[in-house]
Amino acid sequence: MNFAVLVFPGSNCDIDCYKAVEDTIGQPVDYVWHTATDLSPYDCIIVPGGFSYGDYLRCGAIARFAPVMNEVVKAAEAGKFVFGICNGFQILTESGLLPGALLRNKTMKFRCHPVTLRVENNHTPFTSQYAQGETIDIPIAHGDGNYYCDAETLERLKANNQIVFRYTGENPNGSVDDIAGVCNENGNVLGMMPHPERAVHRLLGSEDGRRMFTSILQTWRERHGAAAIG
Amino acid sequence: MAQQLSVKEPTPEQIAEQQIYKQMGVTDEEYGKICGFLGRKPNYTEIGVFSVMWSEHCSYKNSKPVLRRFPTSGPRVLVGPGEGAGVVDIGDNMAVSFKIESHNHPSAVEPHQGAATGVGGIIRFIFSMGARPIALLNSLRFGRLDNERVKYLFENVVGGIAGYGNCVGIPTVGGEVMFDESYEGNPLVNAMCVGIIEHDKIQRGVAQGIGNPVYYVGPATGRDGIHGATFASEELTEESESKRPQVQVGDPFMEKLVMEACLELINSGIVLGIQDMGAAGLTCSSSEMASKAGNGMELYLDDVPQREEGMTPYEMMLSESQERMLFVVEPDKAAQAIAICERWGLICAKVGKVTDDGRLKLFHKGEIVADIPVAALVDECPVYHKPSKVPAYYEANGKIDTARYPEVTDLQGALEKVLASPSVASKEWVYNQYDYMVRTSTVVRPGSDAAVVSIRGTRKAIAMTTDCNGRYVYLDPEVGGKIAVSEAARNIVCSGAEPLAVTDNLNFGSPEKPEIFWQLEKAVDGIAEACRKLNTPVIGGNVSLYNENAKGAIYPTPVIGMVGLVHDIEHITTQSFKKDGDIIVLLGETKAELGGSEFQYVMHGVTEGRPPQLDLDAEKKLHDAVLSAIQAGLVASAHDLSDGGLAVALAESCISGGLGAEVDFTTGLRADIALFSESQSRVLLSADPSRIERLRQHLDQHRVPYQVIGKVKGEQLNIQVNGKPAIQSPVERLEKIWKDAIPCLMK
Amino acid sequence: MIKATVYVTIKQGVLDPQGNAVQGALHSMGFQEVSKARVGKYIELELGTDDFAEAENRVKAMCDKLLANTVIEDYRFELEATAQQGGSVNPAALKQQVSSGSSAALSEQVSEGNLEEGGQ
Repeated sequence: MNFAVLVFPGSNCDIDCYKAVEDTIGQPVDYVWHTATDLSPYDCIIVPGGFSYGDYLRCGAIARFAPVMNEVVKAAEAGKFVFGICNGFQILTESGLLPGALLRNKTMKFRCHPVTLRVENNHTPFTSQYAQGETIDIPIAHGDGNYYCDAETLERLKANNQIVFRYTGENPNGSVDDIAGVCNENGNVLGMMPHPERAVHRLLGSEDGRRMFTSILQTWRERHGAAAIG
Repeated sequence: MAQQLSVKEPTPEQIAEQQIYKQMGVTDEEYGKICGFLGRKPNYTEIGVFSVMWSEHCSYKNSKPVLRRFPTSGPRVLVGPGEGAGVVDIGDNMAVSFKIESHNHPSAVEPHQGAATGVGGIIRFIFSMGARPIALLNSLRFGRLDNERVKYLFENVVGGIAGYGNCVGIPTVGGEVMFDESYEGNPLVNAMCVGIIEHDKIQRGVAQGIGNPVYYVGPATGRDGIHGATFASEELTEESESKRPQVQVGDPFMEKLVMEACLELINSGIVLGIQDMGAAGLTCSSSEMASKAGNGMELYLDDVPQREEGMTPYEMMLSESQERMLFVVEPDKAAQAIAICERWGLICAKVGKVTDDGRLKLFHKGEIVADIPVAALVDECPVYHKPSKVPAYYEANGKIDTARYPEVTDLQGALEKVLASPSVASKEWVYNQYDYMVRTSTVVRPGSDAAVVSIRGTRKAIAMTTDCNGRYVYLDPEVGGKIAVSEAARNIVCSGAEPLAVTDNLNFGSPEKPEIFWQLEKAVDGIAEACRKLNTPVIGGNVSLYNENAKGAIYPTPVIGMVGLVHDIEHITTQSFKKDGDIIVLLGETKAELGGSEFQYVMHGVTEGRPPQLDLDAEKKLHDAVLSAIQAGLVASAHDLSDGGLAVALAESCISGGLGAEVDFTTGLRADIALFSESQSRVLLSADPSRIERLRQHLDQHRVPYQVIGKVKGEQLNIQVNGKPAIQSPVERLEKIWKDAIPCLMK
Repeated sequence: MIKATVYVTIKQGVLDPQGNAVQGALHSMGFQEVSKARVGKYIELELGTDDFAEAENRVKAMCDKLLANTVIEDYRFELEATAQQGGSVNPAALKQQVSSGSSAALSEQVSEGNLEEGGQ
């Protein structure tokens, strides 16, 4: 299974995502520059965190017009896995691949600390190895993670089971309905504010993010009939 | 029409007659020397260039004689002071580069941008050495948090650091924040950056190869920060507020691009020399690069990318626009260099060439506008040996016996008050605004004794800390200086690392005052002695003088940034108690030493007497014993005793571990002194009961005094002194007091 | 030349944390009369055209595509004829206002002009 980690000017979690793929599932992974116009070799595209284009104007607003994003849209339409983390989530909402938008944190401050998430939907390619309702420990690091959508969209998200993660305990940013991550209707595009790639080793304080990567590989193998476990 | 903006510059004669040089901080004597070097009167551009190169910030003219006292070499030192940042070997062809620098004056005027650009500047020092920055730390000092202006400064300095570091993607993993009225109106903002580099990639800021082109990369030059270096070398006055135009605005996004482009340039092997344009901008980088190579440089100022119209040579040379770098390549490698910069979307312009005449020559609009011997700028700045005098307060303090304070009997209340004191209280409010995890290598997060960052692909990790207790240094600069180094090393050791080297940031008042110069000299003596004893040479640093406000000088605050090497990640140790039943051992001797302590400040409202004394032999023995015990796997937790003494150290180990403790401390001291004395060379360890015998033997062998004082137990911190109950409190309650203190004050 | 001045604000009904913070601060400073504060963005664009109708269409497209995120933000903009480079200010500069939403109100008025700006 081939992974792409997109690199925009100002991306800074690209290395972390790359390392996480290597360390958790050992699959081939490439950095793909924002000007790339071909994503056909890749099965999963990770849109990493950071401050693409300095987060100027709005987080993700400028990155969404990078040439590679046309290819991301195509990949999503083709059913490939697209995984946006933090700034990557913001880019995916700006580009319309995911509903809603991310506003400034309610506290007005950047917040970096571990949070507890509840897995609300384990029927996605990204969460299949978690138990439904399981609580996991994943860190956040963002200033604009306050997920917003209108009431109608929220109802649709709920009806389609598109809310994948919710914050349990304190909601760190004021997001609607405690939402931490959502997927598209088909379930192949996921965006989340917390950073699973930062929770892949005991030394980092949590390993709960590992199963996001192992889920992706397992789902892909099931769908492509490839040999399990590797 | 653009020309309307430029004011007509004074002629060389007017500069001399009207003594315009004095407005730039150049003395009559210095002006005379400049005329001598040039063989004529300097024009406006030339006097401007001299004024910034001969400012304290760039020349260290007042501190140089003192700085020579530092030990700067050692078997691990690859690059010592003089380059952008020092470099220390950590084995396997790897090295660590680090440096600390102040941005005190800009932060006092515009805290957000002042702090942000301070962070930006220190990052450039590190990547211009060729190192990949892996961590940031900050040492901050503010006035009392019950003052509205202080709150504003604190909030915005932290916001500025967060905004910059988070965006660049370098984790801010540690540092310290202290509050004392001494810093009111003159906060200290010292930023430290640590980077990793392979030996063969180490860069030097040298303009090599006669005829080679000189390139400029980064954003265009504007009129920002003109005379920033001079500003940093003056006292803050009421007028400082009106000096706002001097404050530069940082663009962390640009910094990220410049950093990636420069590291790519360096890794491609085509760069012959590279230096950042920090204080004194183009002037400092061009003249220093030429000087280090023993060459000259010509700059064609029309080719300097300019953000504003009608900029004069004076303005271009003195601008402190941020995120700019200067580098030298061979002519046939220029196209490759430009391509790399363009890939990162950056302006890259050829602005000059290396010459063999040892002169800095500036050309503008077809004319030569400055012609100065490089050596005069860089090496010939006058050095001043300022008079020094023992201050009256020092003599008076020698007569104060801090053991004679009336006894505080409500020890529970005292602990709560000390825990709620902003200097001791949890700094979560601060570090939760910093992305301390990006790059996923932060193994020990902010809040423990030292932060630890692992090095991918190895078993090694880097421990880092900043330390200085300005109250101790004020009360006795020499002892305070020793303590700053010792405490930093103790923090490093407690995290399981071997102390490697030091970067220092000497924050002092005006050296024109003999009492202040005495503080500087004595503190440097103390630091130098401790660095020798603990084998941690000073590999670079920064001097910030003239830190004064209306009430006088700040406490002398020589901040020590120290880096250590964890040989194996299994050795990494934190301060938190690990499990019920572990045995708690106090290493070192507790004496009646309340001078300069947090307890004295909070409970008695004074800072007086002599600070705790320090025996460097005992300190070194302690470090060896603790580090080897950790490496032998005998230790579950290790915590340095510092502000707030034993009581606070126990509370912190309990809070961070979420566990209680049952302690009985046997002592000949009064209970309040025993619990809150800040005697040095002490460490709190906990160990699994099965290892306690081996630990005892180990400590006996190392001849370190120790006392088993209790065990980790339950959810309550119970402290007895000589069998008499002193403190009994649920850890949860202490945690709430400790954690809520700063957020409450900031609401 | 036409200068477009674009204002982007958080939509009514969407939480505006910055606006709330500003309002809270103003209240604590004694400005009790502030019943609402909204914080937005102000963007100036210089357009190399003199055609107001074209400018309006283009700026609207810029707003919809990039300058505002219409999921959470509203925008409005004004168009104003400005001095040519190196020339003088046209005293009868036109000003035109456009808002986002279904009925983009369009009003034309003669601006007071800012005669100090520009040539000296």
